[in-house]
Amino acid sequence: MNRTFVLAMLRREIGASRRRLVLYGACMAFGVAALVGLHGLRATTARAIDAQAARLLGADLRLSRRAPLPDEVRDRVDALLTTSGTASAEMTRFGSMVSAPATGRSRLVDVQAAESVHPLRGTVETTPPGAWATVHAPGPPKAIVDPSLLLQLGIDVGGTIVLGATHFDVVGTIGRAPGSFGMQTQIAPRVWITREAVESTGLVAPGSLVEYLLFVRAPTAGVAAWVEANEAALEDAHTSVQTVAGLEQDLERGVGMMTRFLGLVGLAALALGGVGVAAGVRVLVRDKLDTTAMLRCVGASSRDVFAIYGLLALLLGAVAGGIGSLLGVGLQWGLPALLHGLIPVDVPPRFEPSAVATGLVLGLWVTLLFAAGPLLDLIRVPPLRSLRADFAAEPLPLRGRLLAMGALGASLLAVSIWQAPTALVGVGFAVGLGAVLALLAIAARLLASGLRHSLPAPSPYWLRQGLANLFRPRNHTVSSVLTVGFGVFLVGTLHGVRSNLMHQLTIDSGPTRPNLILFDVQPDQLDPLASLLQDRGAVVLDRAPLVSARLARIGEETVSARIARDPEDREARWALLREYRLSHASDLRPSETVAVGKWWDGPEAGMAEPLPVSLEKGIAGALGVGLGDAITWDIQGVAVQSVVTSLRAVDWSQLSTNFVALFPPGLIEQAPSTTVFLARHPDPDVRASLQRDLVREFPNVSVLDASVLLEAIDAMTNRVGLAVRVLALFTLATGFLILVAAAAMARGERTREVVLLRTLGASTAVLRRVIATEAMALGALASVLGTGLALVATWALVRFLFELPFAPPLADFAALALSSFAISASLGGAVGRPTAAGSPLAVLRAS
Amino acid sequence: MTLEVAEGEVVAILGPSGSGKTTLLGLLAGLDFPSEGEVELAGRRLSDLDEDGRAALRSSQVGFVFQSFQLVPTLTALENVLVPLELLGRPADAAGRAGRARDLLGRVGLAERLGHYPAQLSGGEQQRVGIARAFAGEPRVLFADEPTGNLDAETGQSIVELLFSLNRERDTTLVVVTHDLALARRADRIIHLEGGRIARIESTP
Repeated sequence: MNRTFVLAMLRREIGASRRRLVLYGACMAFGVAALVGLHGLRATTARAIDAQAARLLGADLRLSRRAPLPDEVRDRVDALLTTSGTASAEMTRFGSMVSAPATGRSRLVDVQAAESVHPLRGTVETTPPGAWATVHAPGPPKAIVDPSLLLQLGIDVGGTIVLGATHFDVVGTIGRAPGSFGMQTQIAPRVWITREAVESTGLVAPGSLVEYLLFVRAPTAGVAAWVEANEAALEDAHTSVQTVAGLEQDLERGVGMMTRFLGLVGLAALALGGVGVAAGVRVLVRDKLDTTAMLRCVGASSRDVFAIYGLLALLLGAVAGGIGSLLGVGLQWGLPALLHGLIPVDVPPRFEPSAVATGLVLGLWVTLLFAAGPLLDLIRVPPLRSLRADFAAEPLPLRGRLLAMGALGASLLAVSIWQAPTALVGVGFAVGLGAVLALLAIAARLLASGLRHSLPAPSPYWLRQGLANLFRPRNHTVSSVLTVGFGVFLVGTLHGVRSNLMHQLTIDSGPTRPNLILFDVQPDQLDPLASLLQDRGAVVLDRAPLVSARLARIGEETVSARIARDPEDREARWALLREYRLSHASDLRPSETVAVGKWWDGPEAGMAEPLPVSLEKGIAGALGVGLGDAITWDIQGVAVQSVVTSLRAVDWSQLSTNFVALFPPGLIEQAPSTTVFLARHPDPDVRASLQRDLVREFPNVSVLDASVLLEAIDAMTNRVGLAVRVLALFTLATGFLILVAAAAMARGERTREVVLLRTLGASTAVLRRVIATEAMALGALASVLGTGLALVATWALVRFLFELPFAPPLADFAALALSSFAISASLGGAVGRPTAAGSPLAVLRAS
Repeated sequence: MTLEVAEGEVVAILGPSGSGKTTLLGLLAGLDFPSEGEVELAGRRLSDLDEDGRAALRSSQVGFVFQSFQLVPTLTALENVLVPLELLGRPADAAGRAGRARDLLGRVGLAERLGHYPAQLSGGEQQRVGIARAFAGEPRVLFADEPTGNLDAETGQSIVELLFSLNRERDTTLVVVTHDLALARRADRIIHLEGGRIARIESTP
């Protein structure tokens, strides 16, 4: 390679192509920015989680159990405390109804009754400061609560709330505190009280859902060693363990999943940017064919030529990576605000060099990948072209083309897998992306060629010329339609799926659906509660008893032996150790069907063990059991043998009482149980007064108004949805940018044509109309194709992935199509409009 | 056909359109390959060289003047002339190369237009840049493909004068393809091509 020559030529090419480099580079910038922003956020959040995890946990070690901790566990904790621990704190936590006598309103809350030393790590921030200490001061019972609860109850600090049998003075509100964050408090706001006050409320009864927690402060090494030594014993005692390191891992995994899913949207923008780069480089290469042939003629080797333009492409990639990284750093600072409530920690803005490096590498790689094809054409230009302009390079042989396309596909697949939360999602995403891009490209090509054969003959010149521009040589139809169409497709599909899911939730709150859920109804409350509901006109749609149980044996094997067999199988471990809520039913619910085996015909009272049990398919899979397998349950200390007689498929998306394990009626009724009621009353005011009276008469019963749940889900999906849509807009912006680039390229290429037409007598108005027709046709093609595909994709996702009925959001889609048409037509028209500058003669001479 | 061009000789290839003039030039310069037969250029058999070998040979031994000038539109006149010098790496320093390019452009009468882009030059001026570029690398052989084909008679005449006088000064072998009989008459020999064959060879007095 001739370095002097290559560098001198490169320097001049950069000078001549400066504006193009920036324009094409910018096409990729949004995609790079999205990925840099998300990588940066992931890294900063991981750092923040490391720094704040102990504060989030409130201790170095947390033990929790559905029943008071047994002495055996306490002894083990005492051993840790005497060797290296410094303090411990206990908490009792349960869901309950709270009401405000002043306004009569009531609400389901998350009661956390803790000792004054809690939290052992970090602090609980309250307004006014120090309110948590005030709760523990002598005098009448006091509480601090989430600010949202005060709003919902219509009271202020200083007001009174009632929990069970006890009145509490609200002495402050909770800000940042260990244990829960953001959206979690949306469904059940927190109420912090003293542990001593729990008993007086009378809310903790047998069978009610109570969690007992023990927090320990101890050095990290001591905790790790203790957990390792006591893991098996804790498991046997059904006690869950959480450490700071474990919480860090869980939180980082969660944030990682979220940012990776969002990253896929960014990846789409990056791939589109690549399409833009390829289109740009193709035009650049076309302009350089003669120069290259001449250079080859006067003695430049193909390596020299490749070096010049390869380096130029590298530079283009660097520009793309550079602009993208800058934007990405800005995005990284904006994302935490966008994802407020979804990230468990405060994320201070921070410059992440690794994220910027990722952006630069991605920018370079994707640019080279997409530029490689056109560049290969350039080095194949025969020098003879200098003598004869019609001498073109031989097309790359099929094998070479397949190889180039294979490399492109494989690289996109690799980036996709690297970026995606799981390899499968990555493959699915890459295949989906490729399929949609291919469909758009094919449709654009077919439509353009269809237009060629059906141009209306007796139409004005500008109309024919404008439409003909879509299929004439050197058109930008495919790249423009591909990029804008894909942006529209992505935004449309995301919106369509979300609106369908929300629509479904609204249907779920429709006239035949429950909108009141009552938990923890004790056996002696069943009849009076049912008659209270009936008196108020509420319809009881379903009631199901819940019996808490755990697995004791599968076949002849104990649960611990089974875990020991494959300790790494997390899913099986979870299924084996979890607490089950058994129920009984004589009939299948509408939300379930028998997949394998046979459902029982009627009550089978008095039947001897083993009792028939019907399992949900998924849990049976996790446990590795099938029809005819024996399962021994530990129902609150009593071993009950059963045999699997059927497996059910359950639609969990419906608001309904669904159970993983069901028995026939009449067999497990003797066990201590609570009951869940699903009821419905259409009038929210009646529901509110009903809740108030329920709290008064049945203080232990928790009531959830479905509209609260809907609001919480709506708020949550809105947050995630907003972030996704912002990134999808990046993709759409990339599409428009490429459209602008394409229009600018077309304008450059058509200067001579415009001058010729003007010389032949075409007025500026006619020329403008030609360009406007072309821009509008392109915009219409892209918008209609993108929206149409989005409609199909929404239908497919809703119908087959979410298995819900499809409701096309036609008005929204029409608005999307119209606005994208308006934007692309006006952008294309504005950038592509012919200039009056420069005399025709000068242009004709130059060419 | 068999054709031998001696060192320092000026040969014109004359013939009607489609008679194979440009094809012959392409073969002689190693831009194209004969389906049979051999071409030897400056003592090297072209079939012994690969594509890059032929490029290197052209860079050190051959100059071109094209009918359509073939200037790089994004380079100035000076930069266009610099291209072969940079390819050769001769003179070794950038200032030396720029000096030689400037001298040559002065020699073709463009001393005042060094920083102009091709689009800012007239056809005749563009071809002068093309000639300066062709002589920049001090080639032993110069191939000219219809050098006046895109120019009016008067401008064409001055370009021919320039080409021949520079050729005399530097004692370069010149192969010029043309259908301009007046231009051909200034060569030592005229090769008349018809239908891809040498119809006759005419020596000029």
